[in-house]
Amino acid sequence: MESLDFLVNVVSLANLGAMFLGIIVGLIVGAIPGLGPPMAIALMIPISFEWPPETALILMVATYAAGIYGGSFTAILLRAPGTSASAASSIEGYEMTKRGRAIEAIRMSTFASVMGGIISGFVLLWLAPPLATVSLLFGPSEYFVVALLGLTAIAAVSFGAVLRGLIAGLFGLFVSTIGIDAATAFPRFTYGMTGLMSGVGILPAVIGLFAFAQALTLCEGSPKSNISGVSKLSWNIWPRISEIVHCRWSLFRGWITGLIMGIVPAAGGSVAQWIAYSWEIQRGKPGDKFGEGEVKGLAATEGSNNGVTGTSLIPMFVLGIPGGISAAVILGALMIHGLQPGDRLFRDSPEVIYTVIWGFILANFMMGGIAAALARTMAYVTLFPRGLLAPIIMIFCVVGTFTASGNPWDVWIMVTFGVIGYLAQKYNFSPAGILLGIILGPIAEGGLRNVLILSDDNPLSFIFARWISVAIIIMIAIAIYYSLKPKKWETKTETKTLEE
Amino acid sequence: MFKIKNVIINAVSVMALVGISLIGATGAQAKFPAGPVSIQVPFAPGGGADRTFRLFAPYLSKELGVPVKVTNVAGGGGWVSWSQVANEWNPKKDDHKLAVVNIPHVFSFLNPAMKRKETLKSFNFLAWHSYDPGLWLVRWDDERFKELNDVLEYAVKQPIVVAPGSYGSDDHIGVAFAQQAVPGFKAKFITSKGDNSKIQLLLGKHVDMVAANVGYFINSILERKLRPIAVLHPEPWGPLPSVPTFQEVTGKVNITYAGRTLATANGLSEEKRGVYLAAIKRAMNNPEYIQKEVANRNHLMFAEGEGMWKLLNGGQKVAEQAAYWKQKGVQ
Repeated sequence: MESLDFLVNVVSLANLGAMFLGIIVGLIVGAIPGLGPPMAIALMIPISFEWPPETALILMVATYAAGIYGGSFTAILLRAPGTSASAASSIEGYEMTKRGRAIEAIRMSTFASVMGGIISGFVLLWLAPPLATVSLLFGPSEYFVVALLGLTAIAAVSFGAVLRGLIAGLFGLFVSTIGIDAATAFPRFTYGMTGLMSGVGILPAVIGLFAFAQALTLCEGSPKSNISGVSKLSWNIWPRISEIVHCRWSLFRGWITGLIMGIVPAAGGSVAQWIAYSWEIQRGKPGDKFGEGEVKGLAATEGSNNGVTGTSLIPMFVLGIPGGISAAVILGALMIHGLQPGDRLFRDSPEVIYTVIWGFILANFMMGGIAAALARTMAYVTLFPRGLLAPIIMIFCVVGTFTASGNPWDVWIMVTFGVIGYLAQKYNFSPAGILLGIILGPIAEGGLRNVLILSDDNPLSFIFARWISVAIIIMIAIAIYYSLKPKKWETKTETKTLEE
Repeated sequence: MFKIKNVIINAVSVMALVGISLIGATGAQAKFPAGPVSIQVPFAPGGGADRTFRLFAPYLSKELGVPVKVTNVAGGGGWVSWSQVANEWNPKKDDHKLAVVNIPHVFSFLNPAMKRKETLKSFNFLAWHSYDPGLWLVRWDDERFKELNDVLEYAVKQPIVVAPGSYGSDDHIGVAFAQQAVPGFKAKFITSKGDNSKIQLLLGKHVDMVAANVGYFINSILERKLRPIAVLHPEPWGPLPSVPTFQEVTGKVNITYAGRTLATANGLSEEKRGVYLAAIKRAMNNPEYIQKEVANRNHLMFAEGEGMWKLLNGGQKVAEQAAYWKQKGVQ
């Protein structure tokens, strides 16, 4: 346990101060739609320029963990996810808020996220090298089938209206083809508009489909009413043992999904949350109320998106392959401080890397404390009148989207998807299905095209010759089987009447 | 009488205020830049260009005497930002803005499918900032490829699977050149997003070779994970002196690189250009900054005036000759 020797390094005043700063910045920036963890981490680079490397990197990893978690606050309380990794939490989380259970949702989210982050941190500490090798096994074929697995979640998030959900998913897939084609450099569906050349970004789409659409929905009700329907908030900010026991398997499945998806480069929390959520819906029991504020669904999505955080750093630290944009920015910070990822990092600078990993684990603990202290204050927004909330959300959507890219086109894309999301929600066309299509479309398309090239247009023999691909295909078959099978928990029939 | 006195007092006050304002304005004119300067990066936060110029900003700030911040205007493969710089930036209103223009990304205006009206002359280039030559790499333990000739012979017998990033990138241009230079050279292109993805594809044995740039891959070479097989530069490259150039081995020219330049608003006065240029030059000579960039694996290369334009025009010529957009789909 050589790594244990470095635990004591973390508890210096400078490192704890950096951790605290990172958590506060991460929570705030993560909660604002558009300003996700990559931007928060990038902003930290010049601040920590002259700091010792381990302190600077603790700042970065604390910002990252808190940024992912912070996104859930607004997802749960307002159905306005701060990051794409917390979009799934807005489904059950916001339904709980609407039923006056905001504090219950926040405390489960905090427990799931903090424990997910800590478990992920320990996996990073003890299993980094072997898991990094596993991440190398993911090639074009695996990306294609992972994307297909993610797309099976559309059936789950359609809540009975499967055909409409599939239409939404196909629309999302179509949207994902807009922009310059990476394989031919040919512009598709751009109609000469510069702003569409880079396609529809996930961020403007997720903000539009969920946050801006939510603001439009809020405009429908009485401007003086609030969204939670209650006038007082609970003081129980710590989860009860009974709640944890009730959700134990959902939490476990969420964490495992997050840990696995973290090591798959380019997948991350945005994909993990949907796989975890659909898994929960498929395994639901009689009495579960998915789509109506089921805490098990929230436990799974929140566990998965923070379960990703530690393991997504594994390919970056061990191989120099960042699994996502946040990890890429942390890699940049690592190099700026004169450190290079790889075996040498663990061999030549163990005092830095192990201190940073311990810092990441402790940052999750500290984040839990800070979040619990902030939970009730944050939940006060659910008592605000709709007439005040709707314009505030709209302002944050516009400012957040513009700040993220500086591209005014993205603001228009966000507003367009806001209207689409509003109509989709109203007519039961699953905004989550549209988002899944947008997120997974490029992964599926890129994977399939590369498979066709590698296999000389014989994709099936190529895919079935790879054991990871076969394992994922079996998971797809199971997911399809469960999605066709009547759900044990579905006692109501009204959603089925919406089916064509 | 009283009224006249008031009028005189008011008139004197107004004249004094106007005078002070004029002095202030004159002072402000003498001091340039008068306020914060921004460096507009055409990609989202977190990318290579963003990282480099966030690192550069404090050193440029020190030289200019005003804060320097990095802003990101992403989208359109860089063109959302570049079309602003080329067509909308005003030399008076936008004189406190610098823009990053990436080479060869900007040469995408040559691709007819892009339907762009801009050319190199549409930009007011200030200075060349960094330069990173093309590099071909294989796995360290890949016994099939001891040297470049092994790669070329293999590619003549059967298609070699290459990850050159995206279509039209400098890395893709290098492979497109090889197809022109070596008769029978066949390649299958596996598109990938970024250099990190290339490392994964190569180490995971999903491709035979990656086409990339030196900077990002030095570490993988030192880690003995990837082996450089050829550098696409006119002469051996400083950090990798023992790696042969494509030209040395084949006798055919194959030069490609990634470069970053700084530009400003069209029509900016020579005086203001001079202020920026001198500050950029001094900042790029700051030993502390150089050390940081060495750690960042970014090769600094300052060029201005004719030297810079020679590089720019040379780059365009390379892109024109490669004419990747004329090639049909998969090779």
